[in-house]
Amino acid sequence: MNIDIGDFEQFKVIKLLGEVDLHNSREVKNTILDYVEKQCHILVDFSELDYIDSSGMATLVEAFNRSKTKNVDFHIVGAKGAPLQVLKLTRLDSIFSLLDSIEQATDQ
Amino acid sequence: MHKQSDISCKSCTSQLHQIRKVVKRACHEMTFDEAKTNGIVLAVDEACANVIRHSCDFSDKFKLKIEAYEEDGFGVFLISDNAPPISDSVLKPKDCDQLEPGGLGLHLIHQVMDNVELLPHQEHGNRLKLSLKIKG
Repeated sequence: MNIDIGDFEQFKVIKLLGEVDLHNSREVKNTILDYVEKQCHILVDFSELDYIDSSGMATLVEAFNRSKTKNVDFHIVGAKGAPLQVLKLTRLDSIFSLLDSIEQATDQ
Repeated sequence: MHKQSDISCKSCTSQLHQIRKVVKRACHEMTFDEAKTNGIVLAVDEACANVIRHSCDFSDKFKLKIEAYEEDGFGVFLISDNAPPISDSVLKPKDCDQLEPGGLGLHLIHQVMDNVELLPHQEHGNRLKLSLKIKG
């Protein structure tokens, strides 16, 4: 698993590549929460994510809840395949803001 | 019972990737479609992660074994370990309506699989049997 950090407009883009599971979800958690604490608006890019388990989803839930208290935007971009299936199975697809592309974030 | 494949490994999170590969291959051999395969891989991964986290307390001194086989039209995934025994009560999923980080794994296992069964203990360890109908 790799994490690429970039910028788009006012957003910090956190791109997850490969597989997120119990072995590495703490690294994802620390990275995302660090930017939320800095009050960055967040785009979590799933476009090259092949797999995510419940520990990864729990990380996103924690970051999403924290983003609300920090009053920052939090979107998930480009979810497809197995990760999108997990979002639906956990019903988190109706909680999170899911976008097809990074460009859509500026329309929100 | 026709055995498809199995994997034995240490109770370590670094093994989860390899477990998923073996389970995915077994699902394809059982002719599960892509969506079912994704679900089963997730369910077995969650079950193994729960063993490593809760039964083994992240110690890698225990052993995990995952066996995949067909039985009476079901794909069966049997997860065995030699960690301290757990009780049936810890397998009950909690309601997923509340937006809380914990408990998602069990919810996913029960969402995906037709049957989730903790088999009687041997002298020590746990045996969790997950199964899903192959066609229908």
